[in-house]
Amino acid sequence: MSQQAQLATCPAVIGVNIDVEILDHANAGKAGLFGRYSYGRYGVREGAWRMLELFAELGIQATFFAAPEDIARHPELLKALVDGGHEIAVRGTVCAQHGGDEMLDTLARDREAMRALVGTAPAGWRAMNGLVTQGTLPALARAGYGYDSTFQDDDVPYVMADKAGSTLVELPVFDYLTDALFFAQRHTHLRAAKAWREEADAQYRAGGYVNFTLHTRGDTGSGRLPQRRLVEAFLRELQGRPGLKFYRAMDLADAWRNAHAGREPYPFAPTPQI
Amino acid sequence: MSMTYPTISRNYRAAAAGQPAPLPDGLRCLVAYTIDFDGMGNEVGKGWAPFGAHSAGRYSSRRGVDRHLDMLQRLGIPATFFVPGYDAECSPEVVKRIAAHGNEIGAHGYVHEGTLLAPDEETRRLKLTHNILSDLLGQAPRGWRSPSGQKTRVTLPALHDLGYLYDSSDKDADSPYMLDLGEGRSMVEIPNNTYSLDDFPFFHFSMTPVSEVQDQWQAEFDARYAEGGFFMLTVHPRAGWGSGTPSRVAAVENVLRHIQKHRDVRFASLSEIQAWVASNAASHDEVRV
Repeated sequence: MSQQAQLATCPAVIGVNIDVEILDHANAGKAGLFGRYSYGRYGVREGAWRMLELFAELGIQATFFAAPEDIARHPELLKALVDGGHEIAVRGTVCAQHGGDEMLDTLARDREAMRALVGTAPAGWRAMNGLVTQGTLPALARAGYGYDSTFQDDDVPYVMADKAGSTLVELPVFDYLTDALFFAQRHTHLRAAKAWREEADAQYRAGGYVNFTLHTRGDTGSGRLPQRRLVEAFLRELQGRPGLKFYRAMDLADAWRNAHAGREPYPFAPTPQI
Repeated sequence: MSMTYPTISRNYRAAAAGQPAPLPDGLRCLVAYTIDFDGMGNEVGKGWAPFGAHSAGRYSSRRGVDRHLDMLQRLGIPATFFVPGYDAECSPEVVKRIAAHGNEIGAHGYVHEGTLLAPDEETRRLKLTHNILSDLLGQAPRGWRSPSGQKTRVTLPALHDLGYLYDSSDKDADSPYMLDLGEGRSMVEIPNNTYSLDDFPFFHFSMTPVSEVQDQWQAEFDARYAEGGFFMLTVHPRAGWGSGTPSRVAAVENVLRHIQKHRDVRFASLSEIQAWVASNAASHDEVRV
């Protein structure tokens, strides 16, 4: 059997973004993590646990993206993630705002911090604020990461390499396979689930893959009971599709890299004539 | 600088005197399907790195354009693509493929400029993109669409000087019409409606489920077909708020197949529409700018 044949027809990944305190802290300032700045804390009190129960029921191992600081503050969550066989990847920042200074040194620092907490080095990275500079992906590879999962530019994963041979896999995400974007606009849960279902169906039919992004927060996340029920129904539907198989992100990145010989250059945007 | 008020110099509906020109060949509906390339240039023009969460423009050349070309071939219809100059520099082979499939290519800014520029700089960028597309395709673009719908008093005269025959940016009518630029100069305006017949607002501002957008566009066409006239749908082959991905192209294809089921409907490129309007200019509305 070839390497490619070992890949599911439609690979699927669940990437859960855990933003316990780090995000609210950046927004709260002197107000402190009270009141509306406690939605992130909901994730570590309720949301993440509800998701862990669901994934255990469904037999799915997911990938949790978190800042090392959040993981360090909540060792009980770390233990549950590890005990459940889930992957822990880094949710980091290389640029605070558009055009801001590039902070590539955070990549290795976060990887080492997470390794010290978890015991194994993280394979994956996702930008917390979505900002990725031209230098970020090669720097991720140099720092020892195996994949990024921030871009929104393809239907399937792809593998990049430079002349030195260091490779990195991109596991693209999809805006219509994300909870927070819908809930931030106050869409009903049912409408969000309708959009997920349509998007996943189209990906499945077109030979794409599914990268479903969830959050544990109590405002824009899916850890509350009603959202959890919709997520469960959606995931059970996906599990019923022939050829669809769930992977942890790092396992899919490895499988994809092994199954596909093609390598492309790291993303590049030429300087415009302005 | 004083405000410019374009003058409606001929308006058949308001005058209630005579009728505008009927569609050619006894058609009930003349349909244009237009695709704004909108690759990395959209983000680069804002000073953003077109990567990570802002990488959806990369999808146009990686996937979205070719998926549209396949669909257009299946349906046997022409489309008019509007391409920013920077995107043509980044993805020349993709842009050449659009033309090789028999589609028209118009200009769409250099880095999708959505802001006002000084007149000299605006003119320079119009020429820059004009030259990039002309050199790449061996044929000068005949049409232009404003990125973000922005134009100035400089824009149309500069486009006319470069040989453009039509603009497709204004939102002030349901049907194409003549533009009188003064000094004997004229162009054709082929108006679009970004609020209702464009993917961006639905997939960006309201994040509407794709099936509901499909229903909306079909209802828009049904209303137009009932009265007869011109219908134009505009999409972008990006990911994110565009329509390059499998779910969005499937919805667009359903809409276009719905349109094709109707009698006396023809899909046309914007150059064909420009030629029809210009050939019978006095029978169409006119705006003096």
